[in-house]
Amino acid sequence: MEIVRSFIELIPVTLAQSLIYAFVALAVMIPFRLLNFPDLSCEGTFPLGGSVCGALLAMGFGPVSAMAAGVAAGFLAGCAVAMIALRFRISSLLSGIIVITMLYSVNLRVMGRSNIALFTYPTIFDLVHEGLNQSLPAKIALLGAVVALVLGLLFAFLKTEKGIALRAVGANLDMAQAQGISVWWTTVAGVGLAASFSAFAGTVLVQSQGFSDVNIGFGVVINGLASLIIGELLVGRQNVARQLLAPVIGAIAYYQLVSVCLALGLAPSDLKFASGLLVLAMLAAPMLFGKERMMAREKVE
Amino acid sequence: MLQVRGLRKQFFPDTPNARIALDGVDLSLAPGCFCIVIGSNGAGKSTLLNAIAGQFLVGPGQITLEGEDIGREPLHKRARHIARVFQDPMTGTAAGMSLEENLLLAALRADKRRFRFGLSAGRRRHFRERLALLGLGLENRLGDRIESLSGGQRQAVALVMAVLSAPKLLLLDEHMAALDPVTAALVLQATVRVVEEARLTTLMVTHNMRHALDVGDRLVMMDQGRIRLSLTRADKAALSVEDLVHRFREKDDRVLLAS
Repeated sequence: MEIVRSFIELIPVTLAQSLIYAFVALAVMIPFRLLNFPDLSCEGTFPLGGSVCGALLAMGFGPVSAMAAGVAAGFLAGCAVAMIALRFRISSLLSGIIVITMLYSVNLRVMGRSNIALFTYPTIFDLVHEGLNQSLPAKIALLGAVVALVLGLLFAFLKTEKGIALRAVGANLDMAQAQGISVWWTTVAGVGLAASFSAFAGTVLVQSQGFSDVNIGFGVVINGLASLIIGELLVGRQNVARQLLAPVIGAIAYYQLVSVCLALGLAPSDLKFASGLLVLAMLAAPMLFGKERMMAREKVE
Repeated sequence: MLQVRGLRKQFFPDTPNARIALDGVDLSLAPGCFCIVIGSNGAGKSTLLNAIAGQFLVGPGQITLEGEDIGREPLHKRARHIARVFQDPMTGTAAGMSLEENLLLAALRADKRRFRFGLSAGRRRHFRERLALLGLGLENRLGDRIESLSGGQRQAVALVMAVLSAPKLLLLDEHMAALDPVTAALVLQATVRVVEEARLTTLMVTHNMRHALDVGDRLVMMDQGRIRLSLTRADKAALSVEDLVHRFREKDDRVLLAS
């Protein structure tokens, strides 16, 4: 009973948190699924957004300009990941890791120290409504509305001429090029766009929790991947709408799942191991079941 | 009009595997010319088409299209004027996207793609008309994903896509090789119709000697990276498939160079 109650009590907090991390899952989905450019750089662009936003808030800038700067920084970092991978023909994953590593130093430089308290500065939540950050239902409603708005805009974009061209690059590189689409610019812009979502999540998180820390990115990529995989399991990815919905639904489900595990007594320090195990299981499942199916077929024959 | 002069391409240069794929190819196509390219495997046919399309940059040599030197332009820039249908039906179309989305990209090949919904009612009507010409019933499946089509249907769609934005040059790289004979005949029919209807300057690679003789205004035979033989429509009319195969075998014969 105690377990159930502590879980239920945590549902709203977890929901608010997962709506922020939904943007990270979205930032994982776009390169992986739409561009066929596996990229893990959220691990660096997420804290980059948070650091830039936090540093600017602490310098007295308003929340809107601080967030805009954070998102712009994320966009540029994403572009850099794509440019490095394409120009020097190295793996997108390696390119991402290089950028993540470099961003760690950048984030420390930007903030001047490893964390900044932001409690005393007005945040975007205060801008919408004074004291909104203290009201959980209002926060959830606001974050939910932003997620819905972004999904709507993204859906519309993917149906425009430019959006269709972007999807073509991920769906069939040869075909895209033969239709006059520049793989270079499309990939650079697409990965940049994804990274800006990740950075945006960073800017919202630091304002939500009241401090910016250089380590907030640790493990977010595996959480984003897990969210994406769970989401695709739940809503599928047969069309653009489902593919867009998957990371968001997945993030909501994943963080509740984490909350259940914590309520059941899993030590927070073991959480990363559990997350890794979950992603591994999900990724291994098709292989394992595929093998079984193949063996079953052999028996029949 | 396409003009290719002194085109050379070496694969794996400066290694023991170095191989000359194009050994000084000269080719000039009049506007509206439908030219068939034949030759044994490794003769350089596909390499020639890839070089013209911009798949790789050639060494020495010049490629001009309607007087414009395109030899240094990247692939996607050349694609504004050059349309291609590939041998593999999977290459020319995007499987996970709908038929109309594929067609839209083809329609915009020469244009700028904008932040607007491109699939207008007018465009859809136009797509339906073009697909109806194939006689495969695809005009009723605009919203279907490409992966639900058969290989032959996909190749037919790729052909429609290639000619949708009136390219200056059409490159067909053994585009019927992966199809069964009946489907291949259908796609050939459609090919001849669209090429002749729009008077498209076309280069078509084929291994089918019958097709090589039956269609096109011109026939060139490649061997070891060179064009060894060039026949006009009148020359072709006097040849049987047996004659052609015979010449094919005789390709090393010096006499052929003079003919």
